[in-house]
Amino acid sequence: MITTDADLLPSCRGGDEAAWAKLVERHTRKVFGLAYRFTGRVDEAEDLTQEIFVKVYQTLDKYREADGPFGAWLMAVARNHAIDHYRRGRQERARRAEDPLLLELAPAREEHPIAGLEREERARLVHRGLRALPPDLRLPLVLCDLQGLSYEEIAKSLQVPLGTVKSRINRARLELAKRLLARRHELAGGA
Amino acid sequence: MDCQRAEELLSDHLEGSLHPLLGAELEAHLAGCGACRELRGALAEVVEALRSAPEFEAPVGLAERAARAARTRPRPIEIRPALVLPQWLNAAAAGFALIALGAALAVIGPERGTRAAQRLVGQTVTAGSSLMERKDRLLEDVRVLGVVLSTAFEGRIERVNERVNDYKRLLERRKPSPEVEPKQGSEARPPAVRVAAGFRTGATRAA
Repeated sequence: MITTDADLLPSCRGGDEAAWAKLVERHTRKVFGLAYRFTGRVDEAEDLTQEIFVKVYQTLDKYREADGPFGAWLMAVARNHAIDHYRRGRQERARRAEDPLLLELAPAREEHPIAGLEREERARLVHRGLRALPPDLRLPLVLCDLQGLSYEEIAKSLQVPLGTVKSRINRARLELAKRLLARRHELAGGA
Repeated sequence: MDCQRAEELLSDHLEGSLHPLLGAELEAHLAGCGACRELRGALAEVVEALRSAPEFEAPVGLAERAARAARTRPRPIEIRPALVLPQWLNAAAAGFALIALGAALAVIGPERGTRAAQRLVGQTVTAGSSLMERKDRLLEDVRVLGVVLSTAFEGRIERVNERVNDYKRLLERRKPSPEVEPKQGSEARPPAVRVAAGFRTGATRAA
């Protein structure tokens, strides 16, 4: 029998430890992925993930089914918390010491081996480039291209003008595109 | 259009949100600029890579740690918004507080300069009543009275009169000017002084 989030929620609210553990288990990967994209550091992303689940647990009673699926609500809570985290400036401090641990992307899904390798190589380059971007450029890009928020939503979340959001997203994409091209030219030159 | 301007427009162009006239200008530039064409291609790849980015594997044990961390923190008790008292009630409370302070001074006032201390008590009570009516000047009044009281407690009882007179002058200055000019010939009544007669200085006493 498949247990849904909606099945687990009443037990979680009632203090059922096992139900809560199961709910967290279900969403940890997504929340951690968001936290890692935001922070660019594994250790900080782990801390942020824990903070997010503390927040979710403390506000479980505020979720109503009419708000939409629980997963979407949870990710909105996670996003808002990650943005607050960014505003508090901890990310800036963290960037002073580079995190030597670089996470590898999950294995490619079913596709042609060559195409898979190209996709992986490109994804790796983009991922590394994203991690190297300054937070002011990285965050709008993560919210836009990874989280699917509109420009207006991003402007509201980050409390910056719409024009600034557009310009930062374009600059971030250009930065990554130039890195991709530079790497290709490097490889072409070495061949 | 130069390459820098073309770069600025690439994202909008990719998303189809560029104005048709600008779009045509950009297309014209791209047709003649291999570097910008290449950049546009790479930009499209980046966006595609980001939008189809696979998820990261969460570190082993993170889910258990996160679940435990959340459970060990107590859920916050919902706090209702604090009761907002109307301003007049705040002023009234401050006035009552001052009256109470005056009464307390009457009991434990300084032994030296008893007469002056009694006047101080009376003045404080009167000022408290005045404050209840003059709620919008509350903070300034409290500050001035604070100076008066601190002077008294410092033992410089002889200077209390000066402080109280300062306070009286302050209240005099605050009196609202009459909105309607008094008719000629009619006797303009002097503005009523809310605060009772203050401490008489040596000079006034002599007079």
